[in-house]
Amino acid sequence: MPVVTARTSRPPAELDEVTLVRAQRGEDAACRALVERYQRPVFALLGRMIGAGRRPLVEDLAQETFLRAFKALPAFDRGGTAKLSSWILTIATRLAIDELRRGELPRAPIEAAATVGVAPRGEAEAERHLLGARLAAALATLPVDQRATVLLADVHELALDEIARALAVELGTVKSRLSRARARLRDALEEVHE
Amino acid sequence: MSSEHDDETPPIPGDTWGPDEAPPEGFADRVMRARAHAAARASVEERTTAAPTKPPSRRARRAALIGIVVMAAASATFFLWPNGRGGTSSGSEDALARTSVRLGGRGVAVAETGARLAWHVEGGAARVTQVRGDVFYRVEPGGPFVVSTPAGEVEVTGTCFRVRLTEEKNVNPMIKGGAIGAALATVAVVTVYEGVVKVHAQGREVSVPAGQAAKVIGGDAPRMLNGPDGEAGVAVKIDIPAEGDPAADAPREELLARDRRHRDQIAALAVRLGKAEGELQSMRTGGPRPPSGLGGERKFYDFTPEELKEMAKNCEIRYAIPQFGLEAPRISDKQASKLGLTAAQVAQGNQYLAETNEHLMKELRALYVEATGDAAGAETLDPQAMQTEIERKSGVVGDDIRKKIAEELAGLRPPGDPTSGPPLERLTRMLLAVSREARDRGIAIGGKANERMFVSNSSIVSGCSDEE
Repeated sequence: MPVVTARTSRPPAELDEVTLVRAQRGEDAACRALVERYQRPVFALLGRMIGAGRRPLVEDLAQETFLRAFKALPAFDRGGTAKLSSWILTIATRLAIDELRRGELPRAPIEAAATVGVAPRGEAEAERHLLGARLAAALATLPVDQRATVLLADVHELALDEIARALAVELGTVKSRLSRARARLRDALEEVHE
Repeated sequence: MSSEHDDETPPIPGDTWGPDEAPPEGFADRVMRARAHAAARASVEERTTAAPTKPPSRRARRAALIGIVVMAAASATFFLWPNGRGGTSSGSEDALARTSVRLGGRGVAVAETGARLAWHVEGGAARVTQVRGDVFYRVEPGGPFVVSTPAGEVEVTGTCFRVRLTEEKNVNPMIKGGAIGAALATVAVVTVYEGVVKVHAQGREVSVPAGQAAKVIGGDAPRMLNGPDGEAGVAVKIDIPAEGDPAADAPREELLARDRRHRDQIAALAVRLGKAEGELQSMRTGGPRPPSGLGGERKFYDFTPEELKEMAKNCEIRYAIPQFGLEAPRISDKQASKLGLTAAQVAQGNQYLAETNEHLMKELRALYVEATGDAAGAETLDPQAMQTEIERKSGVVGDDIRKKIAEELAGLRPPGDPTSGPPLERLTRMLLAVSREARDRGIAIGGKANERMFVSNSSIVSGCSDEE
């Protein structure tokens, strides 16, 4: 059985409205608070979207995510249906998809992805490490749209309609992509258990 | 083409994903430096772009000369202030971004982007000329402190307040040269957070206490916004706890704490103002719509002349368009089977959907940038968000646009030019044109029975503005 580990990319508590207004007005302290609040999920998403071994690119895309967010922030509808976290993750996702589609990035080799990380200590930790590595490797083989869909749904817990808006596709397409992505990832995980 | 599945599959358990990639130490600092760098670069580019590439014309030179004379005249008035304690300080600011300005020893002004002001402080007396924009003032107690605006003068002794200048159509009909109409006037809204502010204009004066606001429309006497003379439905009640003036020897930390507190109060007020504006907008645009002459039928084509006239009466338009977004939609195998389409028809349909998607996204992005000036947002916002922003920037003008187009469709006025008019009008015309084409292409590719094969979004928008 897989060992339970604490995942850190749970949706963050949203920025309070007063700080958000101040950030929309461009106040430095509020903008910094926004970065500090959302940097972890952005890194978590980009790290998995881009794949292992491309840390400088992940950092660049994370920075670009926030710079674009600041530019568009005055137009963010505080009373609208979109949560700020979903909106920022949408920007990050689109940047990652654009980067991956540009074709400049070779796909992360499965072996590389599977061996990334600190060497495990005990047996339980070894299994956890193996599962995580296998999942990362399987994720790297998914088409970028499926990869984005499953990450937004299962890691960042966005609702399906939020994902549909983020990726500008219909709800049915999100369901379809999610179904395929989960099936492939499950296959990869089952290989570990066998 | 692979089929679409609607079946729900259980999520990958959260405990199998492994550790997250974590941000490096000091990442927020790095972003803030990059932000400051980007802002500085944009400012330089703006100045460079604005710089004349050829010698100024005689007309421009004359305008500049007039400007200098005006500024000189303004400066001359500063020197008429009685000389008292303190030194002399003067300057001007044309805020390209939010800027804090020290007004000699008399206080601080925080000018929002686009604000323009000049100041002179001498012997404890300060005069600020605010030509435009939104400026927050924190004034230390002392001699006279006057903010002069095109709409009127604001006089204080020691307080916190904001002066926001806009241009509005004067709602009072004017008789000028025999013509009755509305004039464009500078409007000053003075909001007081602390102390008391006197607002003068046209020989009248109102005293505005903390938590209240006054409005001056150029040429009129000042009016309280939420006092006895308040404007019903516009004023927002502001509850700010009364706070005395700081002690003359108050330490810097205390003043900074006050400043932070006031900024928080301003931000909280902005939230409430936003909500109030939203409610006002919903009052303007919401409410029961006049019933459509089509009896609620969801019809989108082949209207009779009577139906079109009835729709025009209700400022109603209807369109049914394909889905569009960052990715072009495609006809799924399931849809193709349901509609009885051949592989060739599916290929033709997908080609049409791809071309329409490209056209709609390109035009929508261009209209969004034109309406908002936000080129970056055009790359990151989804189509729905861009449409909403275009509509929002247009305010209630949307009703007028629908009325105009509905009347054109009913033959009550000549057809308009689809390439001119404000962004919202062109967007509306584009959606109507795509709606017609989607139907035509549906018939051409799939036959009359499939006239709606490309349609996934249909809208009926009606209701005329109350001003009619």
